Amino acid sequence: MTKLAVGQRAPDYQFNTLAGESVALSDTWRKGNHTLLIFLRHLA
Amino acid sequence: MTQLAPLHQEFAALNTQVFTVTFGHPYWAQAWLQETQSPFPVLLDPTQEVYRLYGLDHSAVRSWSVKTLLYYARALMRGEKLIEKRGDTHQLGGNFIIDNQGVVQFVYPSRDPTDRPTIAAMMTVLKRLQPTS
Repeated sequence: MTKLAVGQRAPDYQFNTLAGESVALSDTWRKGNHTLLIFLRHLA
Repeated sequence: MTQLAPLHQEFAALNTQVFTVTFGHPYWAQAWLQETQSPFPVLLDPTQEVYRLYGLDHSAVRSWSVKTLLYYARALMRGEKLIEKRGDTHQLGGNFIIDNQGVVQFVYPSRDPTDRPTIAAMMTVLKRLQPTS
């Protein structure tokens, strides 16, 4: 599996949210915001 | 996550959108949201495609290491309630910071279920990304 490294372009992705919206990571960047992504483990 | 939630205004001041990503079923994600009261939007990745895109590991050995079992044992001794498993227990998590140009600035794939970066480490990166006056 390819590992991401600092300095690489981040993979963009169009997500559905739990609130029922559709969000692309690049939408956040276009608005001038940085992104902190927290990938959870299983929900225990 | 409970440590990050009180900082949501600080993240906003740093022009940072925080997202949590889960592969869990929306029913359990909603239950988790109610339990944690996390202020951050929850993004759904039911096929774990984005976990793979971001290079996060899937490991039975590291998910159930002695360190992990001790972590859960200590939590039980503190009186914390463990919830039944809700999905793939071998998928590891991680934290990433991406700047507003779409470039990765911080990479922290968890080595085991108890492993997360410090808040200080993430704040240092986010503060470095702020425009200088």
